[in-house]
Amino acid sequence: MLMLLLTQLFITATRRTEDSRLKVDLQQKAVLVLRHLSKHLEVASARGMSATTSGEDYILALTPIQSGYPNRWTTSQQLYVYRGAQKEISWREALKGDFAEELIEDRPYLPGPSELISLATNSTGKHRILSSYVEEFSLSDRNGSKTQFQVQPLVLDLKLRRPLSHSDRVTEFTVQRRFVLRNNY
Amino acid sequence: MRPCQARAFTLVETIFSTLFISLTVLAIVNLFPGAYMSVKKSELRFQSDYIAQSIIEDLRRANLSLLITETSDEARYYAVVTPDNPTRFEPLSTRNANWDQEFEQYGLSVDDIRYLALVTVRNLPDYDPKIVKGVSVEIEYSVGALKQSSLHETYLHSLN
Repeated sequence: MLMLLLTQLFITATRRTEDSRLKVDLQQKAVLVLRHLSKHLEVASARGMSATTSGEDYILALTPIQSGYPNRWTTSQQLYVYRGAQKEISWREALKGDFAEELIEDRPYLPGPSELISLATNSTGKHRILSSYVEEFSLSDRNGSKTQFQVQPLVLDLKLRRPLSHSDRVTEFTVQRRFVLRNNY
Repeated sequence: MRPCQARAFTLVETIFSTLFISLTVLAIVNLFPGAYMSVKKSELRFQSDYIAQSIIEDLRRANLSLLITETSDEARYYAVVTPDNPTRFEPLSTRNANWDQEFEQYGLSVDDIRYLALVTVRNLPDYDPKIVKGVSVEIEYSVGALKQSSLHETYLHSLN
């Protein structure tokens, strides 16, 4: 009887420890996405940003400004690709050869929706899965537009959710973070 | 026939074994709330940091000369954060002794946790108030009876 009680207690303790680990893991995933995106938004301008939605997917492309050279743009783009079906967000780098039109330093290139969808799978630069278990991911302007960034601050909506050790229990982490772009070129 | 050799536990053995088992069970049970609170605290810390950073981002767009005059030392506000609108700043002269009432009026709830944001804008000695101002954002949050806060301070410059 006593052994049964202790075993039950041990199982519960193990399960709760695992749940805590999963919760912390979810928080860390959210922090990683936020830090990654914040770093790129610091060197972005609304003029160099384009985005599109396709079904449940959301694709955001940023052309960073060259550091120390206002009005000079890098010839690569940073892509954030959210796949609604897989509930996964990844970062990809699109190099200048990936685009329909060659990228130049004098002005940002804004790919259209179909090109963005193609870049989300075919870009040849580095790529990395930032987080799974993503329920919501979007960047919108103050008017609520997810594809036209006209009025700041921009608002990032991020919601992560994953099941815990019991399938009927889930943990969630919701973040709404505002960004004011430092650059207005 | 041989007599039965089995002997029962003595009272001292029973007391010590019960004490040992009770302490072991208590130690295991005590791990639960400790681990839970650590995870919850880290989540609250993240969330309060993001709320404070979002308010600071809104302050970068705000006309701070409307929030504080050049001759004042400092001005305090409740920051009312709503999902679809820019942060609204409501003047704060004295704190309400009832935190729940303050929260009802000015607070924000995220994942069932309640947050209250307080902003202090101040003119800095030796700096031109038209160019630089100091800003403190304090986020108070409550989980049950537990109240905590985090403080973010920054300079804002090149003001409108």
